[in-house]
Amino acid sequence: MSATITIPAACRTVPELDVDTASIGELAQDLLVASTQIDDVGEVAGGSARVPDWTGAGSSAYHAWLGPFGYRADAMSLALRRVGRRVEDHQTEMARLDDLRGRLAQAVGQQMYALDDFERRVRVHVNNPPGAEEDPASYDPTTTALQQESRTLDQALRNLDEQITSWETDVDTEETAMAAAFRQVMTTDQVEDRYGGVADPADAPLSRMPPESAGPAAAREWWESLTPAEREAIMTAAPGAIGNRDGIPAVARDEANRVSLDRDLELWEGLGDDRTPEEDRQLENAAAAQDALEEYEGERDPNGNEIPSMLWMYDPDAFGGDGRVAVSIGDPDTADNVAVNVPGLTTDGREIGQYTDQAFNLHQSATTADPSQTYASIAWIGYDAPNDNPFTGDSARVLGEGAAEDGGALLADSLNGLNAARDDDFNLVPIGHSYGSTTLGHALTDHDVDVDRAAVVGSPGLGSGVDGPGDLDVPEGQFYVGRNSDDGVSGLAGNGWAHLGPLGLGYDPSDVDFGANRFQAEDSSRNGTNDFGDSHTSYYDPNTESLSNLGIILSGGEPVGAEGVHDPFFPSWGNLNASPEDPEADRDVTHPQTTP
Amino acid sequence: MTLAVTFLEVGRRAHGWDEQNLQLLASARQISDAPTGGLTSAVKGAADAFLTSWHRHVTTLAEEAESTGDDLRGAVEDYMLTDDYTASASYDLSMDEYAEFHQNLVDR
Repeated sequence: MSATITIPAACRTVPELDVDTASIGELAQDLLVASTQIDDVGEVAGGSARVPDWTGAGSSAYHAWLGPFGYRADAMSLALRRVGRRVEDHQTEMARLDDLRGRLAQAVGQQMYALDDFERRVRVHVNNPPGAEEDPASYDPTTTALQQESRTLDQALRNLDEQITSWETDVDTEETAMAAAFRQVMTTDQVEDRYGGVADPADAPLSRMPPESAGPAAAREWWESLTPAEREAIMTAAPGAIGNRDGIPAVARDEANRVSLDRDLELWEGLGDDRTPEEDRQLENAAAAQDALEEYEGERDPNGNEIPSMLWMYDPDAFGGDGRVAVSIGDPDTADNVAVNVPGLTTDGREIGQYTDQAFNLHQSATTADPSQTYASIAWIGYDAPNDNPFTGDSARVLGEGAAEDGGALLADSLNGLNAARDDDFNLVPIGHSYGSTTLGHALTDHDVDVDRAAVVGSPGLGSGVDGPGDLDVPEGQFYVGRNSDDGVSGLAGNGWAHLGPLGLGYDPSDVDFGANRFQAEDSSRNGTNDFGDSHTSYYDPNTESLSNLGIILSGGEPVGAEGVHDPFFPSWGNLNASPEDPEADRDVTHPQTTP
Repeated sequence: MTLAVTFLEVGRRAHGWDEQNLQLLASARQISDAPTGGLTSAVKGAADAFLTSWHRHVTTLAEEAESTGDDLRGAVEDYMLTDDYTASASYDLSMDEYAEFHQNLVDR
């Protein structure tokens, strides 16, 4: 008696899919950015380009041209935006299909291995038949098992065939739909037939957008009332309306600001030698922002999660060309702990790269301190910081509090915006360096803000009238100060080596009488003399006491404490020759690890 | 609004259309430079044709904007040639506005 064992047919191989989804994303972005510019032209033609008081034949011809031109530009903008969004969807779908292809190929490999193994075992079985004397009904359990295994294997292979066919159909459907989306608006006639006179879906929601004065909570409420389609339309048609608007989610701000950034770069780089000096400056700000974002793209935390870098604020023309820009390392809308790093002297938009480096260093340090939590660290060039050396050109501005006062208001807006964008409990920790600490001082005294902790490093004072943490809108015991004993800038406080008294920027917060939590922040380059270089600028350097302690503070821990400075000059105004005594000056400097 | 001030506005619009021209040319360039190499071969052909067409469409828009700027400048220059211009401009415009107006025309 003989039995049949069928060897199942092999399944199909999975076809190749030659696709680069990142490049498709770039294509989508380019189309969306171009649509933004065309939308602007349409808006100009429909409004500000008119000259109502101009009469005569020239006026008639001009105004008669404006209408159809604007109509065409609006239709083109909508068409290009729609195609750009379709390409974004295509990127998502092709990424899914590419991922599925990988999993199918892996499954095919496994099943083909199983098939080979099965075939080998059947061969062995056939070549070594059971003894003829045995009862076929009972002697051949192996044959029965192999027959059952054959059916199971065949079912799995045929199932894979079906999945591969289904995958091919999905690829074909998606490719056909994408190609059709391109072909449907190839000519201007097609564009006008489809989109001529169609209302821009961004217009109605923008008309309902609350004014700035309504505050960030109103902005968030408005944003949440919009449909996904309306949000997408606004991010492309009017990125400037939401990119810097406090209360709008960081993800949306980032997307809108990147549209503006790409558009600016395309324009200004394309002008080449025809750029004006102002445009040169704006291009430098924009390029610096682009570089900063690219530098940290794809960074991952120790748990393998991607750390997003976000363009949280972008206005390259602000403050007379100095620029207003903020880059966040980590998502400030989801992180457990959010730091806002406020820079001081010599800061403008062109330097966002180095401040983003510092923000990243702090992110690393906090992650080292407590890897179980998540962090966002924002490099915030959000105010018109003094941008010259204090002892050369811009000293008068530095030594006054005007810029810090104005900046404090802007900082308070940003802090309130970060709070308004979230419902959950998180820790908001602003950190001011140098004159940025004076700006932070004004935000925490002149305005109603809600922060969990605050810290300053290299501070020349938090503003006149701030004599202790109790003057600041910070929870009791949650104000920290770091100071290198050689840091000469701290002497610009009312007390300190410069003896500026009321001409200074307030009480030295590292002074023992101020009452802050001083933490260790000595730098290995110290040499016992007042220094405005490394001693003042190394607070965010990796593996320093300062960065380590700032990371601990951001993570909610207690930093390594230090005794405050004693100044015999202040506040009695006694001996002008007396110098502050800093107990930290004689301590050995340590080098704690600040990278995970 | 006087005639001189009106033509100051016309001159400003001319400058505005020059800027729109530059920005549209930048958009046209961005479209033609957009990458299609990441698409599959079934889509790439349509995408390339689309970008070629749209580069032309947007360039046409840019040229119209530039041409309009030129036309507006021509209208202003015609106005400046009239006797009325000198009298009304010097009478109605502040010196700053006049300087800006004139500089705009010189720059063009």
